[in-house]
Amino acid sequence: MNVLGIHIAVELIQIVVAVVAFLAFIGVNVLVLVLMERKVAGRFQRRPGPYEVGPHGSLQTLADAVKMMAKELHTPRGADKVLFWAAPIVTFAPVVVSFMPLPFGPKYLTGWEVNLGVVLILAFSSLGVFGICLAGWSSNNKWSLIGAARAVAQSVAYEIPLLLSVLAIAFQVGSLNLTEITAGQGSWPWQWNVAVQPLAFFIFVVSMLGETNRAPFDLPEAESELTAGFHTEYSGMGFGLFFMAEYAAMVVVCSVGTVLFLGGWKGPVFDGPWWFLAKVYGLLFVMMWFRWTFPRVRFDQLLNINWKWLTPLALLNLLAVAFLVKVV
Amino acid sequence: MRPEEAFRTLSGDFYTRSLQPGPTEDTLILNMGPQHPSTHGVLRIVLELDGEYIVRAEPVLGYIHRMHEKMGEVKTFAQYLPNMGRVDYLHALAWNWAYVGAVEKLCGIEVSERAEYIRVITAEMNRISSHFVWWGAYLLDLGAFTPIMYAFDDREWLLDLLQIVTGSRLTYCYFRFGGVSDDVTPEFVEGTFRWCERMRSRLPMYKALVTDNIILRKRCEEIGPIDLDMARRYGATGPVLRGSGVAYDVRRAEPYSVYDRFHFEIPVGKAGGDAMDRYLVRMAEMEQSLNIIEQALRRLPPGPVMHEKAPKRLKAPKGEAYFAVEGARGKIGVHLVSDGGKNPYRVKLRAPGFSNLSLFSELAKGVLLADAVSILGSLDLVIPEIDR
Amino acid sequence: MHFDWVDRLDAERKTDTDYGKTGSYREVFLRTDQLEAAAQSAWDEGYFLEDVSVVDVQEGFLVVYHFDSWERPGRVTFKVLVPHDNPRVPTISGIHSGAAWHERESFDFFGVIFEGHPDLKPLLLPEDLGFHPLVKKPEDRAPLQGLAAVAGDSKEAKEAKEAEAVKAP
Repeated sequence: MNVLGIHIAVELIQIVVAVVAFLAFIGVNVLVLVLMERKVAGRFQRRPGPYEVGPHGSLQTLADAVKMMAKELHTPRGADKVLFWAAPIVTFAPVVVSFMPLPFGPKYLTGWEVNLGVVLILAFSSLGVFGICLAGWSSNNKWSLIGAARAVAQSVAYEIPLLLSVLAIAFQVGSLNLTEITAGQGSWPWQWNVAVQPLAFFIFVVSMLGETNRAPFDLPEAESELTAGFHTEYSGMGFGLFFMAEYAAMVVVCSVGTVLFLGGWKGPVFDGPWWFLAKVYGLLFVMMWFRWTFPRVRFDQLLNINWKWLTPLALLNLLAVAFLVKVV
Repeated sequence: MRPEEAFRTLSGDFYTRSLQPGPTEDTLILNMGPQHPSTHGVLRIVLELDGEYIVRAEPVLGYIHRMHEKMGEVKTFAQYLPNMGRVDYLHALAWNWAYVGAVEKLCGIEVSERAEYIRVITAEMNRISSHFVWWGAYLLDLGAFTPIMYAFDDREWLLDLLQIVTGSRLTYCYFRFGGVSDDVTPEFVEGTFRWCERMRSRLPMYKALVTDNIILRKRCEEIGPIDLDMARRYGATGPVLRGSGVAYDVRRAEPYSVYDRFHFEIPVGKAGGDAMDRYLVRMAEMEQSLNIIEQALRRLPPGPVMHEKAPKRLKAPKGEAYFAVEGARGKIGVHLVSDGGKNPYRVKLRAPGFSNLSLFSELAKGVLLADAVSILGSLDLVIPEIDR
Repeated sequence: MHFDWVDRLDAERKTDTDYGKTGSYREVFLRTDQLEAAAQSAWDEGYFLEDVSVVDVQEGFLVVYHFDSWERPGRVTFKVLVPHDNPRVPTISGIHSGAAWHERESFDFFGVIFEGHPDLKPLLLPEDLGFHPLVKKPEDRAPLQGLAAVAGDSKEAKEAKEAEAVKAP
């Protein structure tokens, strides 16, 4: 009993430490990412982006965070108070957990090594949709309702090609453990999984845009149609939590993509967490690039892309990989 | 009350309640506007939605009604000139022209030749600036956040040029009875030539980056087709009509000023024009306007900018006059009735957007909500012009 | 030119107007019962409705319709005079659907009632305004005569005049 009890206690402490560390990591990341998005957006639009607050605008997000925390938390008339304020928390909490199995670096830089790391991440990212649905319903606003309905359909749809492309890698490596998947890749780009399965990578990138509600698939929060979609009625920190959840989810899916396809923390020289972060930020930059370039895809076209193109392609890819793994 | 009765008593204001018969169990009544990012002004549309499909759409106007027609009766002819810049601020010079043309027709005032050319040049430049705003705002509605920045960057140069000569950036009040208020400077002429060159190099870039983009094409093609019967029943004019294949342009049909001296084409779409046709017509119109501007600049005659016989004090005879010009949105008309007094007796402003928007409730039946946004953008509406 | 259809209309008076002075080629005075047939003829001849406006004169409300055509451009104006105490005109929105909004606007500003209109509720003004803003005070109204710059009568009116002149020496 003692050995088992100590083992459980150690694991619990490790998890708690990891959660706290990840909350801090998410916080810092969101600060950096929001600034990056605004600067990137500005440069694409031929303007400098935030410039006044801090050198070259670097303290802008900090100022925005302070402003957001100081705002009034207003509940719209007729909204269900409990559900209304539970929704941002329900959206944000699963994302923190999703960070746990990710291997940031070689030895001890993983939150909690899990044999089913991939499944854990996918399961918790599905929970985020629940929060969006709650937000749209409890706002007592028809526009939010339409946004929430769109978000649910979109998230549920795009999970499938996401899962199938991830499974293709799992078949190839033979494990769902993210650390093992990283270990199976080499240091140079042609030794990464993307060289072996480019189609799966392509499907993964498109599905990750659909899963995180990022442009060109950002209909649930389509600014010009629904005024802000499911988070229209949120002010102050409620909106802040949705914002953080969105950026954190972006980091999670980019991290999963990095680990599965781009070699994780491995690099040509000096393996380590810096390579991991560099690759994650590279993928994030690509996501932002898409957002500021393309118009929005219409909702039925979005679902068409998923059901008629991505899912069959992902299935074919999976079958091909399964065949090759078994035979070869 | 029983649930089925609750459906029949609508909450909301006069216009929501007057949407009879009311919503059924499957449908939802939703107000798009008056504050909405894509309605380009304070337009409110009462929608009955079945999921994402529009069952009924009814525009409600009047949120920016400023009684310009009443102001026309209490102001003198000259005092009314600045009003025209505010009716449709995006193509203010065309409204200037329509009113000034009506007064000149009524009173028999001639315009000096140099002023005619200047009017053509500045009005065409204004048309291009209006089309830029339309283009940027339309793409913003469709979710592309960058083209509006590029469009406004190009427009800045244009506005600076127009400011040299008119003194304003947006709500111009430049035309006078018998000419224009100030002459063009050599700085303006040179700057405009350079700007035309730059524009000609930018338009192909916009075509490659934006117009040929597959996502944009899927959002615009086969959306909101307007057949000729519908266009004629509602009196649609401008790119909305030309997108459906009819080459009707006031500059050719009822030539005014010196437009008959310039070579320019009238771009048209195909029959049953959809949003993509209207889009392409406007992009082609920008090029044609550049042609007109360059031709006019090269042949700008010397002379005064106000006709010698233009009266210092306007004495309007009894009578009526109707003058039409081609605005960026369509055919602008001013019907002026005078009883010989200091003020006009009646000023009727015919706004092209008014007729163009009236076909929306028929056009939007059975359309997806996202497509309705696309249709509204392709109609190029400026609500202050519709409400006056 | 191509305005024979105007000469064939059943109307009170048809006049050739000077386009250079008024912007219109023909001016047709109609009674309220002749309006719908005239609007139908305009539609059949390929004309579209530009606008409907009202001028408040001493004799009543003068409802003015402007029509123009794509293929044969040239403005034609219809005018209908209705008394102030009973301003009722039949609607033409069954033929020219765009008239629905123009007529609502005229109702808003002047109180002219368009009979048969599917939905004559306020368009631009608040529904609880209670008065019609562009109606003039009786002392400010001008007489109709001379407001329309008439340059000459149509062919048949000229012939009728000549016939009269011959009859009465």
